Order: sequence, then structure tokens, then C-alpha cells
Amino acid sequence: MMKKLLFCYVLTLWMGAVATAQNATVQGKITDAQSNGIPGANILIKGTTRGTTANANGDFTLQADGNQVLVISYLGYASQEVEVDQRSQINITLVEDNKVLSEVVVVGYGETKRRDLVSAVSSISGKEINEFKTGNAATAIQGKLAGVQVVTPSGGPGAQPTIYIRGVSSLQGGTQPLLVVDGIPIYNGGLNSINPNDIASIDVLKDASAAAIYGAKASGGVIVVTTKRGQLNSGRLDVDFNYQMQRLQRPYQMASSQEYVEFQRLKNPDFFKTPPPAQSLDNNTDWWNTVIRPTAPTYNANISYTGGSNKSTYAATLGYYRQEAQAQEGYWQRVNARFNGDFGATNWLKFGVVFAPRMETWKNYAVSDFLGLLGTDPTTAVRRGDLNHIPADQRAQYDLEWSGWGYPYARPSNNPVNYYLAMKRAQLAENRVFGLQSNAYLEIKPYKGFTFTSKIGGNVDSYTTQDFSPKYYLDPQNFSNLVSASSSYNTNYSWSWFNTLGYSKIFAEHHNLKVLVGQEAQYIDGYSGSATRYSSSATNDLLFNSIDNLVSDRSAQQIDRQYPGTNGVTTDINRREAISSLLGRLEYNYKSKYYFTGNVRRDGNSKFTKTNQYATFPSGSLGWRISQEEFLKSNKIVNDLFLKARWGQRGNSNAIPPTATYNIAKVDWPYAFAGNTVYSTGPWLSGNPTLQWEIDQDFSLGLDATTLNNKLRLNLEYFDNQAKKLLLNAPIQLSYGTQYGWGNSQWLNAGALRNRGWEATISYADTKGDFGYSTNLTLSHVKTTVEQLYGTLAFLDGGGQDYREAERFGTISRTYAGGSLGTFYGFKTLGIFKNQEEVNSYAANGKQIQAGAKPGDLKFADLNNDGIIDGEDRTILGNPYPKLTANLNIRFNYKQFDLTADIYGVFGQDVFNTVKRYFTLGDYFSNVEQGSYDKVWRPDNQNATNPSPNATAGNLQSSSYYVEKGSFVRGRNIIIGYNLPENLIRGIRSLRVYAGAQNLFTLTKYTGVNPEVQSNSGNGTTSQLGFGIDHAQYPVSRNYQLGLNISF
Amino acid sequence: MSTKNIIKTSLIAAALTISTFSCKESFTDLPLNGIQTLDNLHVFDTQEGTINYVNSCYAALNWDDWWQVQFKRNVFEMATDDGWLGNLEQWGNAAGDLPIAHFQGLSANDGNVEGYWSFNYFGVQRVNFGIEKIASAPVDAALQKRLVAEMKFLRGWFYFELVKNWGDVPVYTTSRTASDAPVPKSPKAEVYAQIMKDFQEAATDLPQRTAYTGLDKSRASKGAALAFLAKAALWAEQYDVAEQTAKRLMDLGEYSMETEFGNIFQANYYNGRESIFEISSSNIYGNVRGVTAGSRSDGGWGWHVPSSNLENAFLAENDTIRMSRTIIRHGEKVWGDPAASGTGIFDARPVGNKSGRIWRKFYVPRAKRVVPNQSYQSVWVPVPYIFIRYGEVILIYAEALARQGKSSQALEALNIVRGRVKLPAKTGLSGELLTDAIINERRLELAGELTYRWDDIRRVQKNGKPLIETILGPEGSFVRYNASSKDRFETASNTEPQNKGSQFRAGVNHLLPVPAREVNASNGIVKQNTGY
Repeated sequence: MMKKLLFCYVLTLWMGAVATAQNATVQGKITDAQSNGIPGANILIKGTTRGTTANANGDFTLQADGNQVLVISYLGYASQEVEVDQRSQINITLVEDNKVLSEVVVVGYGETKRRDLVSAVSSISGKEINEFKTGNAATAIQGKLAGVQVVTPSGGPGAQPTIYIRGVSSLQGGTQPLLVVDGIPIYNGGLNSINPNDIASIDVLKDASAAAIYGAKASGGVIVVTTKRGQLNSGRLDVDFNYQMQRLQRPYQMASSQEYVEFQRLKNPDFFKTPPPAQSLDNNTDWWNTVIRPTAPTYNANISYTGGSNKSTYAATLGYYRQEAQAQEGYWQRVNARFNGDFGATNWLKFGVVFAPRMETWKNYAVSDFLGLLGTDPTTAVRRGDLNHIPADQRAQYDLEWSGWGYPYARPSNNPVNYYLAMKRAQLAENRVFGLQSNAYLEIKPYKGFTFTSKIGGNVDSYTTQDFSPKYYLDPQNFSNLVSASSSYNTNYSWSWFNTLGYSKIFAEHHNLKVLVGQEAQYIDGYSGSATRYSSSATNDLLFNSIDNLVSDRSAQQIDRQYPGTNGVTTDINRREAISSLLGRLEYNYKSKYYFTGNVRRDGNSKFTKTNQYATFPSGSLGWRISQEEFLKSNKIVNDLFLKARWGQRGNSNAIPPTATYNIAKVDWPYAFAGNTVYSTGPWLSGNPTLQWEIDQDFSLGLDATTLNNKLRLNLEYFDNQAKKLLLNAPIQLSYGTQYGWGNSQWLNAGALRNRGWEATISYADTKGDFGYSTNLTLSHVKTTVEQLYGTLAFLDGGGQDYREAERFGTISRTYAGGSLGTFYGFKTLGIFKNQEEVNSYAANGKQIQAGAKPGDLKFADLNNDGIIDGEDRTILGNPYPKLTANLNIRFNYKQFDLTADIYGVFGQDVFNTVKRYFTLGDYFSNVEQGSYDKVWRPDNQNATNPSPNATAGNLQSSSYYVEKGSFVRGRNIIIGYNLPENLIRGIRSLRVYAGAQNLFTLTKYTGVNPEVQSNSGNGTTSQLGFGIDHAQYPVSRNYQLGLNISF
Repeated sequence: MSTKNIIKTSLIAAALTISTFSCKESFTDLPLNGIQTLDNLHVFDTQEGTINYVNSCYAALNWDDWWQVQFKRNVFEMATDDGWLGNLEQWGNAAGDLPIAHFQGLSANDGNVEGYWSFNYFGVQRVNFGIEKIASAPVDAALQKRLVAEMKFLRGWFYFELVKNWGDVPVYTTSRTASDAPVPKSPKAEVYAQIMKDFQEAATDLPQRTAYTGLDKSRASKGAALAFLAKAALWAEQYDVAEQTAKRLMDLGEYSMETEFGNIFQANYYNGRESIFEISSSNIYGNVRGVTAGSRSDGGWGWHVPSSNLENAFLAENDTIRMSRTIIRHGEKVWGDPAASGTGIFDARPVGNKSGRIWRKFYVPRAKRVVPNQSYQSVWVPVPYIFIRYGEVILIYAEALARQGKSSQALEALNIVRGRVKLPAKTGLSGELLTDAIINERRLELAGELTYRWDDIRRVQKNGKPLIETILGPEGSFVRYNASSKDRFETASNTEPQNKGSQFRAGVNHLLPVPAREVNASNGIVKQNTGY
């Protein structure tokens, strides 16, 4: 039967071909609304099976009768019927009926229509990015793109969010995606360096088949930013103002002086029995209010002009952004300018330039430690004395007054007002970054189908800062008898140059072929320096600019004595890296039905020794548009159905520094021979010359479906990515003594990491008269598994932020083979010992299981049943990485009004709440949260929910007591806008006013400040291993905003 | 071909030609930028560079700051009956030292344990690498022999520290690289064999100190190697070797006792007649103990202070000379420094000092400070950091004799040490009473120096158990002493708990745990010590 049908089909085709020979020739061009040709559009003579396909320029030629009707169709466009009407030239403009499919998606070294996209790329338009007013586009895309996890930053203004694409791609370093702006990789400044208002679109390349073409830096995915360019024959001026009021809510209500003292007396009955001279129960100092301002503004203004005439287009923009810190001191400010120009010199030669300078300035030191601020004891007065300089003969009295109970926070050096406001204000100068991103390209179309492109671009970020420290005396350990002024600079730059030759042709009507070959060279480098001058006689003026005028009155030798080690010349800063690559890509599709793409990239990186520098990484994908099959083609339910499979490899060298293969020496090892210091040269860090490329291997499946007249769209993705030969700075045996410093670690190719997960994007849009609405739901799930580490007993610990945490909590997170990444690790608690009987009855073989336990202690589970609680009883207590990330976007528009709202949710992650140790248990004499006294175990409060603050150190070890569920749902953004009607704004293209709010609400059961906890990378651990540990980071403020857009 | 096509083609050809330059593989061959390696510094290419490298092996004795090994040695001494942690004003900072100093939950993850282990092995690696490289360095044979001997001496020293603290340890005599397979620990006896071999070979090849000139006088000499060989032999319980070696050293006639005990640790006094091997510390480098253990009212940090128990040990022997030159008491005069605190009366800041006492041995008289009559200005003090001195060699000799039953000779030696500080000669002692007397003499003679007490109480066996088990633990003599102590300073505050050492675990804590990272990274081939 099939055979017969096929025979008939072929016969009909042949007969048709014979018949056409007698008809007239019809020529024409199929274009879209922007007058661009639509290659591959189908032209069919109605009622026949005869037809053709438009070529690469959209042109077609067909034999047809003068009275026949042509049916023109193309995926993503409404079909049209046109009578030939005896014409020999017919031009047809098709209208989009599925905007998404006709969107342009930027893929490496080129672009493609989403319709033909087989790899996994998520895109967001600049318009949508700009709905969320922020200084950093990453914040704006949080939740919006499936598979792209954005964790908002701690640390206040100017801090950059962390971005993970399809999970954490590396254990150490190098997890951040490659940022490519207008085709040029940007290695400095991150998304802070780009004004979100300049962005036309962001395309996130998620899988290897998409990203691999970018090669070795792309193992964490690629964020491709395309900036706004002008349009032909247009001219448009846009002005945009935005004002935000950030409101920071007091995260904890702290105890009064009275409660604080009562609480601390639980631990030490003598506490405050003799109040130190400067402290009083009447003080009740509210440290929050002394340092934090309840509201702080953000200003944002942009002007852009885009235009074009004849063959040239251009865009010029200027932007200003300033965010004030919530602390009394601190801000981040950026001024950006950009010029993008494209010049069509001839019909075969085009060139263009991008020139985008910026300046960032910030002061941001004030309050990073909310623990220190809120935990400072409230019996201490706000401020005492002039800390600039306590003369030597008055220090004893000063110390006496201030060596009170409130250690450590009441010490003058920790007094938030003294320290943050006075000291830091005196010491801090502005940090500045001057940055420039620029590129130029040449595009030649020498012969039909060929395009040659050469693009060269670079960016440079130059950071400078000047610090000044007056003479000061805070306490016997923290003082300076010298004035010092220092200046430092740090410049990072990179350039990239690529040349590609593309060829595009449609063979035999239905065979669409695109080939690209190319070569790229990249170079990354940087340099830095600093100088410090000391003086004992200079005044305390802020003479930053005249650092060279400060006459040092101490000899170099004496400075060396005061600041030993400053004369060392050894440095591990070497940022020099050269990358050379060859690349090739072949794209083929048959009738937009069957797709094949193959990529290959050969990368060489100077970080490896010569024998291991070069490696080749292939990738490819297959696509099957099921909806183009005959059996689905005529159905009305499924508009589009497209199944994709991809596989690929990427190399990764991000983790290692350029020095990883070298044996580094230090030339200033001191020793004293007969009273003389002699400096010697000896080994410092040993390199590993055998290092090779880490290989990230991806497999993924994708399914696009569109139904209900293109109103409902669905994208489903599944992926399974494995990193092999992981570059790890692995702790090798300490006794090898190869790496000077704390511990002994060496770069090795050891270990394997796997990320598996799925993503879904569901969107629905419809219009009813004046009323339009749409919703978009994204869901992402990823599970990271460490398949292998460098040895069977090996694990990587993470956690403690500072010495206080490390020494008591010890290990907080642990990463080991077979487990997840950075899981919380510690004792499992079984409640609180209410009384001595419960302590005594927790015994095995007549011995107490939990040695040294007292009533009020946390009771730990004896997991290995050996009758004793020890380190072996620790277990996995939680996973800091979420199981599900979701975002729901809703839009309405009615006549002149529009509304958009985003609700973001993260589910299934755990948070390690270190803050409880201070604010619940009052460790280190910290003040506690109001009401804590009633909630802790006391002999007269045995059923308390919290353990005794006066217990053994066990209560302060890492245990499930500190692990909480971190799921949350946050109202991220709501904006209501009004477009003034045309009759009111004569002479103006459009005028829109809007008002909105960000972070309006957060629903969570987490008891800390903010369940969205960014990594901390303190204490030598990498951020991936310290994820989800809450050290009372900078809270998220609620922002109210007003804005105005005017277009002329 | 049309003109236009020629232009097009040549444009592309030009671009491709230029681009092939950056396409070359040599593009990725980058020279190191501002990074110094042993290769590009040509360390082993000249005689000067080679000596420079060997000097860096000396640097591994003390490293370049207070925190790597120097402070850890203090922490070890804090754990004994001679000392306390001390600093009550920054007690929060004590948490990291409590596991050793108070035996509070000492674990294989302890930072001090990991650090001391690592920094000694850095030294071992540095020596092994140097001995391998020096073979082909352009150094004349005699000098090469000496330099190798110096490095062997240092290697012996590092392993001696390791074996004293951990017992069995992995022994490497060639340099290690990351890809080397793990090797198991060598038994203690084999470690001692390696140590004694190194000291023996060093003693053979090194010149006497008198043969050195200038700065070289501070280098390892024959005397230093013999002294440590004798000491290691005593630790290895090879008493005959200890006796003979100590005798060999004494017979060199190079060293002698200072007549004034307090002069041993004078500021700016280098390679004195009693000092056999030292770091000749200056104001820039060498010794931090004056400051890390100094009074908090004197620019010191107040960590590691002498105990009243030690003071009582002096008083029990009526040993006022050594006591006054070892301990400074709050409110009293400082021996040899009339200008102490400006008033002559010393302020040990008892509110911030557990025992109200500090060490005299590392104290710098105020007239000799960087800024005269001011508190300490930097962490370094110019007091020699003596690793071994003649007084100890005499006591090693005495103990080695005593343990071989040669009591009269032993007493003779012991009384040399006692005689200097005007103590009556001991007579008629033998057996355990004699060795007890010698160990007590070591306590009084060497109090506060390096880790003498820490090492002795774990070495000396009492009824088949290390002495430390009779001193510490719930029923330990020191713990009981403190429980009933009436010392006005030590009992004034419980910020540093008075029951120090009560949690000492017999049978376990006399050795340190092998760092967990060592065990794990070796995949368990390096075994943990018992009980950890």
C-alpha cells in the first residue's frame, strides 16, 4: 500500500513537471514585514502538487498559468493565497502568526530564526529586561529563563549576582557563564559593565551544541548580549527616568539591655554585676538605627537615539545609575555611554563599530556584617571619644573604660558607630573603574551565498582606589601611630579577533545548507600595583590625591619592621592567557522538517604545558519537526511540534590559574644569621605539568509544541551533563609539602560531576478586543551529583566564614563522591535534654552516649550505634541547592493601561542558619533576638524550644538544629503603566508613566532574614561548596518605583 | 575576474593571511609574566643561588611569621603544667588553641595539628628537593658536601619534631610530587633511625662553629649535629649513643656554660658560648615570643604565661636565681631591667593574664627596645631563639648515664648545671630517684624554652606510662593542684577554666592525631593514631 502511494506521488510530481514546461514563468520575492527575504518559504500552485521554495534571498521562480492561484506558506507566518493574474512578477509580504518562531536567536558567530533552532537557547528581549529596573541585567532575568538560576547578591549596591546555567558546572571556580557582548567575550566587569537599557536581547546558550562553538570558556554556558542598533530609515529619541525608594526592614528585633544582661547571666552569673564605667542598662542602644537608614534611593536615567538612513544605521545611548546603600555610608554609581554604528558601504561590503565606555564608582564597606551590627551589646553607648588618636598616656584609662563585658562587640574597634561610620568614613575613598568595551567588524559578501566576517574587539577595565588611614587608637590590638595613604590600581584587559567564512545555499528547493568555518584568537591579561606611604607627622586630612606629597619619615627598614612582609616581590598574579581556536559548523535542514547541525572546535590554551595545550571538541544536534509531516500538517490542533536531540563536548580550563603548571618560588624567605636578616629563595607552590583539559559532555532532549492557534506554547527540556577529568585543586597529602600555606593542595585532573534536570516553559497569550493578556510559567529542576573525587576517602569541606565559625561549627558543608554538592553536614539532633534524668538515661552499656552532655544540651543521634557520639555520627543534614525554581509572569493590557507582575519561587532547598548561634544563643556575648530569654532552656524552663545558651560546645557544632527549610515565594515585581493617548501628546511618539514595586512580599517558613542565600567563599572554600550558609548577609530591600518613558 | 571580485578576494586573502599569525600554535606559548620560578631564577645554576636555596631550608625552621610554627610551639607548652593560655581579654580567640592547650576535644581536624604537621613536612620537601638538585649544581665539592650536610641536619630536625609529636610518620628522603602514590607510616624506630642517620652524617661533614666566619657562625655546625644526635638518641632510648655523643660534643671544647644564667637569652646576643644552635634573631626576624607571650600592658599579646605550679617547682628547690630569670611576676621588679614599666615595678595586667606572670627569658629590657623605654613596636624581638644549648647537653649526658646505672657520673654532670645557679649538689641518688631529679632539673633549667616540658612529659615513662598521664587527666597532679590552688592571680578569674587538662585522655593524647586531611588524601594508607 505504502509503495503504491509513493509511486503515485512520484508519478504526479513527474507529470506536474512535464505540464509546467508549457506555462509562463512567474518570478517574485517573499518577504517579511521588515522587507527581509524569507528563504525556504513554500510556494504552491493551488489545487496541484506543483510548487517551489524561495532561495536564500527569498526569491523564487515558478512556471504557472496566468489564472492559477499561488499558496504561499511558511512556518510561523499566516498562509496567503495570491492570484497570478497574468503577472510575471509577484512580490508577497507574509505576516507573522507565531512571533516566537520568527524571532532571531543569536548563536555563536551568527544568528538563526528560532524556527530553525535545534540547540537549547533561552532568549529574553531588552524590553522585558527593562521592565525590572536594576543596574544589573542578571537581576532582571532571575526566574525568567528556564534552566538559568540567578542568585541575588549579598553585600549591597554593586554586588553581582551569581548565575548558574543548568546547574553547577565545576567544583572550584569557573562556574560563571561566558559573557559575550556583540560577539566579543567580556572577561571583566560582568553584567555590571552593561547598561540594561542598552540591551536589545539576551540569548542564553544552555547546551553544548549551542555553546561549544564558543569553545573553552563556555563550559558554564554562554550569555550572549546583543545591544541596540539603529534601524534603516528611522529616527527615534527615547528618554527614560526611574526613581526607586529602597526600604530595608529591620530583620530582627533585638533584646533590650535588661534582657541582654539577663540572658548573658545564664552563661555567667557575674555578668554585668559590676557594670563597666561606660556601659549602662539605660543605654538600650539601637544599633540598627544608628547605622541603617530606613530608606535609600536609587536613580536611573537613560537617553538613547537610534536612527539610520540609506545604508547606515546607528544608536547612541547614555545612561546613569546610582544606588545608595542602606547603611549610612556607601553607594554604587555607573555612567555608561555607547555608540553602535553599522555602515553599508557597498552592497557587498559592510562594516560597523561599537564603542562603549563606562565609569563605575562606589563606596561600599559600611555594613557587610549584620551580625556585628545587631549583635553588639545594647548596654554600650553609641560612641565615645575621638578615636583618631588617643595619646599614649591616656590609653590606659581609655582601655579600662572600654574593656567591659561586651566582648567582642563592645570593644571600641567593634563598636559599629566607631568602626563602620567613623573609622571607615575616615579610611574609605571611592573605588573607581574606568571601562571600555569596543569592537569593529567587516562583513563581505563576495559571491552569492558567501559571507566573510572579520571582527576584532576588546575590553579594558581599569580599577583604582586610594585609601587613607589616620592615626587612631581603638584598643591595644588595633591602633596605628602612623598616618598612611595608599593607592592601588588593577587593570584587566582582553582582546579577541575572529574571522569566519559562511556559506548558505538551498539545494534542490528543499535542502537548506549553511556552513561556517573560522578562526579565533583571544588574549587576556592584566596588571596591578600599589603603593603605601607612612608618616607620623602628617595631619589627618584626607589627602588622597597627594599621596606622593606625604613624606615618609621612616626608613624602608623601619616600615618593614612595622609591616613585615610588605617588601616581598613574589606574586601569584599572572593573568596572561592566550587562546587560539579553529571552528566549524554545518547546519542542514530538509523542508524545515529534518535538521542536522554539527560543530567542531579546536582550542588551545596557554595555561597548559605545550604537549597538552590543544584539544578538539565536537558537538551536534538532530531535529525533527513532526508537525511538518503529512499526517500532522493539515490538523488544526497542533500548530508546531518539534523534537530535538543534542550531544556535545566542551573543554574547560577556567578553574586553573595560568601558573598551575609551574613551580613557583618565593625570593624573600627570611632567616636570621648572627643578627642579620638574610632573604633566601625557595620553593613556594609546585605546579602540575600533566594538567589537561577538563571535558564537559552534554546530552539533552527538547520538545517545542504550539497549539490553540499559536496561543499556547510549551517547551520541555531534559538534560544530562557530565564533567570529566575535573580540574580540582585537590587537597593532597599534607606530608608531600609541595604547596606552602595552610594545608597542601594541588591542581589535578580528578573527579567527575553530573548535572541532570528538566525545564519547562509554558506560555499562553490572547487578546479580546481592547483587553490582552498573557502568562508565562517557567520551571527548572537540576540535580548535581559529584560522581567522583580524587580518592575514595576524599571530600571537600566548606562553610565557616571566619575564624569564629570555623572553629566552632567546624565543617558545615561536605562534598564527597556519590553525594550532592556542598551538602550540610553535622549531627542529627533528637531534641533537647530536659533534665539530668534524660541525660543519664541516654546511655549504652552503662556509659553515657553523649559524653559531657548537660541538661539543656542538644541531644545528638548515635547514628552508627557504637554507644558514643563522635565525629563518625555526623551525617548529611540538607541540600542547599533547590529542587525546583519557578517563575510566573502575568501581563494584562487594556486600552492605555498595562500591568505586569512576576512571582518567583524556589523550592526544596535547605539553609544553614548560623545566625541562630548568636541571636538565639548569644554566643560570643552577642545580643539576642527579643524574647530569646523565654525561649531557651533554663532549669525553670525545661520545655523550651531552644537549647541552653550555657551548654557544652556541642550546641554550637554543626547540627540539624541550624538547618532549616529555605523554600520561598517572592513577589518580585509589579508594574502598572499608562500610555498617554496620542491626542494628548502631540509631537511626541509616546509617553508612558508607570509605578511599581519590587520584592513586595516573601512567603517562607525560614526564620532568618532572607532565605535566598548567596554563597560565601570565605575561609578558603569555593563558593559552590559554601552555598546556602546564612551569615546574616545583606537583606533584600523592598523597592517602590516611579518612572517615565518618552519617545520622540 | 572582474575588478570588484579581485578586490573582494584580495581583501579576504589579506585578512586570512594576517589571521594565520594568531592561528599559529606558538600564539599560546606564553612566557611567564612576573612570576618567579626556581628555573627562571636559576637557583641551582650558580654557587650563590645554591647557598641561597639552602638558606631557604633554614627559613623552614621558623618560617616568616608568628603563626606557622612558633606560636604552635607555645600552644604545646600551654598544655603542660608549666603554662596557661593566659590572655583573658581576647578569650574568644583562644577557641582554636583549647583542643591542645586544655585537651578539649582534640580532633584530627585541629588547625594547630594540621599546621605543625604541614610546616615540618614543607621543610622536609624543601631539603629533599635541594639535596637532589645540588648534585648537578656548579658548587665546589667541599662546599657541596657542607651544604648537603646542613640540609641533612635540618631534615633530621624536622623529622625529630614529627616523631616526638606523632610517633610513627611517613618518611620521605626524596622529593614528592602530587602524582606520587601514598606510602604508609614508618614505625617510630625507623623514623629515629633516619633522624640519627641524618644527624650522624651531618656531624661527620659539617665544620665546627669555630671554622665558620661572620654570619656563617649561625649555620648548623658539627656541634649542632652532635648535640641533636645525642638528644635524638636519648629520645630513642639509645642511652649509650646519647652518652657517647654528648661526650664527643663536650670534648670539642667549643661550648661552655654562661656563668650568669640570665645572660643566655640576652637581647642582641648571638652565638654565645652556651648556645649551640640558634636563630640569631633581630628586630626584623627570628623570635616572636617576647611579644606573643608579652604583657598586654607592654605591647604584648599575652598568650602563653607561666603557671604558679612552675613557680612552686622553683620554690621547692629554693631555686631563686633561675626563677627570677625565668618568671616575671606582676607588681614585682624585673631581673636585669631596672626600667621595667618605667617604675621598675612590672605590670603584667592581671585582668588580662590568667597567672599574672610572664616569661623573663624572652623579655626585652626596656632600654633595648626599638624605641627605648616604649612598649614593643613589632612582633619580632632580638632575643636569640635557641634550639639547643650546652646546659641541656650536660643534662642529656647526665640522664643517659643515669639510665645506664652510671649514677655517680650522672650526679657529677647534674651538679654542673645546679652549681651554676648556686644550688647544692645532689648526692646519693640513683635509679628512678635520680632520673626524677634530672627530669625536674630539666624543667627548671629549660622552663619556657621551645617545647621542653611538652616533650619531656610525653617521653618520660612513669610506671610504664608517659609522665603526662600522672600530671593531666581528671586525677592528674596538676589538675588537683589547680583545684585547690590559692594563687591569687590564677583563681581570680575562671575565664580560662581552672580545670585545664582534666579532659586529657590517657592512652590517646600523649600523641597528636594525624591530620584528617592526611589520612583522607592518602585514601587511608596513612593510618590514624590510636583513639582519634
